[in-house]
Amino acid sequence: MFRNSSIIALIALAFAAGCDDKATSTSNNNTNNGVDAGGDASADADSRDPVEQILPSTNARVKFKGGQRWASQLARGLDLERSELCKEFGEYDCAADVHFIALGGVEPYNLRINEPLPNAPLTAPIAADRIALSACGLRAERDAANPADASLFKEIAAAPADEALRAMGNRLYQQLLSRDAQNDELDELVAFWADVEDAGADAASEWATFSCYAVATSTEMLFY
Amino acid sequence: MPKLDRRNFLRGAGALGVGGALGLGSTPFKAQAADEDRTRFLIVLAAAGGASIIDSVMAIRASESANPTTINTFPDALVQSVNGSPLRAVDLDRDSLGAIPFSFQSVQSDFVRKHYNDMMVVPTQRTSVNHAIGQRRSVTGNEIWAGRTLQELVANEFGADFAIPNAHLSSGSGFTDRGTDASLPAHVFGEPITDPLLWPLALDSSKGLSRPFDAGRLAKARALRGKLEQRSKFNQVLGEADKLKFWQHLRQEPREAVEARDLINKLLLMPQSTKFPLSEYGLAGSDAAQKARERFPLWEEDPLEAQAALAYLLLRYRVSVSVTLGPSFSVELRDGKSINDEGALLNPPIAFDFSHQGHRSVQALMWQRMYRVADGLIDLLKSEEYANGESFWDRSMIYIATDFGRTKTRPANSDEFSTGHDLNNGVLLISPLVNGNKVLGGVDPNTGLTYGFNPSTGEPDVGRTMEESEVFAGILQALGVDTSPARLPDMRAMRKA
Repeated sequence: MFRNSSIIALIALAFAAGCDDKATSTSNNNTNNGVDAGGDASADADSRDPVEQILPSTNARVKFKGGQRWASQLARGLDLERSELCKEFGEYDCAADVHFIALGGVEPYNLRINEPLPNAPLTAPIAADRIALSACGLRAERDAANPADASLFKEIAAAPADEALRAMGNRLYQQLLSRDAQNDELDELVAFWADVEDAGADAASEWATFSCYAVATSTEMLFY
Repeated sequence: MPKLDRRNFLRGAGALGVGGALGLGSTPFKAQAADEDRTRFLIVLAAAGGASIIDSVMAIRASESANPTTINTFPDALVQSVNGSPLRAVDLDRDSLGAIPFSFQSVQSDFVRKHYNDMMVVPTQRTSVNHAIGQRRSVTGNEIWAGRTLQELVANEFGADFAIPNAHLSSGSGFTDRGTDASLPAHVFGEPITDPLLWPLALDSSKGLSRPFDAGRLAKARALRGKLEQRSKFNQVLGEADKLKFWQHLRQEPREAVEARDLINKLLLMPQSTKFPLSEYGLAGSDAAQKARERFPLWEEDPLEAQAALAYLLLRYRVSVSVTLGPSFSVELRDGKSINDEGALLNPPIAFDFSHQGHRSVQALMWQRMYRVADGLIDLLKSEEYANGESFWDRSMIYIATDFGRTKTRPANSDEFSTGHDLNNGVLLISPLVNGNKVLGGVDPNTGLTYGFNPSTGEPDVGRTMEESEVFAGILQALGVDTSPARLPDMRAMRKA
């Protein structure tokens, strides 16, 4: 419902502005979400937004954030202690120990690795997945167990309404990516509910865990 | 007919480019193009610090030398000959390692007696006595093929269908440097494995975590991530960055390939225990890991044995075609022991290079370590069928690579002495694919210096030394790698007849 109305509004805006096909297409994906400072999504915000044209960089260069920095940011965003983020066998810290080198760490004293690996090894994205799944699962579990005191998924409930999903989704973006989610990003998160609905009583927790995972392991979160 | 996939395409492009760029003379060696499975496995056993060939298979008896008291020769009784083979072994007992009180026995003859038919010694004249440079040149042939390493070339030749073709189980040395040919496909460059015990956990995104995750929903979450990334301005602006694209590539097909094969369970070395409660985390391990632990019983205490055990699993499960392992430069002690405890020392400081403090004892201990690991790997690989009655070992080669040699002289009649770095040395190759039971070239017993051989006939040539590039070429050719694009010299004498 939201998605359809957004698209119609954007097409209308594009025509009104005399955009070419390319600009129209780009603007569809990049409309500001119209979320207010309190974190609640506003459905009619699209009509107020200017059309924004995104131009790809002609010299795109990014830097991997590094496992330690990313993990710290993840812990802060999910309101978890850094030490409880992820432990292999409940004992060995994932980011600071087990997957430290794969995620760009250096260890000159014993391993004689003085520089971060020049390219990500095969295991790096998998290690990031493990850390994010552990952390997101823990956050969802805690918030589901005590919604009144939830720090991220405050609206977590058996069958949250679209508005509740949008609010949680936006808070996820704010806490992990330090920005508001765009409307089209929130649309995707709302649509994702259908993918977890079959989990029954666990659906809300599953939605929270996997939505968090998707944002936490996105390239926007891992690189800068 | 070989399929033309992404990897094959890139491989072909890389080889073509490099051959032209080198512009060298013609080469007579070219591997046969055949539809048969040509897969070969390379094990680089990195003897860090300078493994002296005249302290093992080319040992000199005092009675053979005109300068027995000042050249690194051994009392005749310590140098063993095996079954009339030209390969030698030094058996000795020591009660110290340099200045470290430490009793041990080194019995090289057990290994030589068992494997001499697959052993070939190749003299070398190296080009640097700097550790890092010497190590690197031992695997690049002094950069002769556009700076490609042996491991990368083997991965490029045989590793297209392997999940992690080139595994680096040791780190921080020139043996595991990345080669300088950026035209090679990304999958041939070494995958670092800094902790053989826990590294396999990074082979699955969700197995073995503290709570189970539904695989189907995880796949949908990945699809969600893709959609969110498409909509992210960050990605729209910077999506063409190489690092982003490479990361996105890794998390798709390569990740799927390792997860689909359940490598996390196959490659985990440890059994169920209170320290590693596998079943609590939904993990099981594998029968082959049990076999590896039995052959390398110090897998939990000695990093080199852990590397060797995992190397076997990587080869046996057809994950890798090249594995590089070796002792660290750190002191390794048995768990809970101090250096003064009997039998506590596993690895001396700076490995072979501790020869600066006590050459004879350190060389004996470290060669023993090399042989122990090689013996275990050979036995394990012989016990595994590759196909049609052929074992994995039938397709494998162990290359004991080293930085350089050690100086050949000693104070008169000293039994323990210090040595420095020397360009002159030799390397040991162990494989059914090489010209086995052979010492190519020879050693001058009066100087301790090795000399070369005719590359075609193998006849000793006292006036010749062997270049790093020649050893490099011979290794590749014995493995069936087509060296014609780089126009490397034909080292016929190093291949099995």
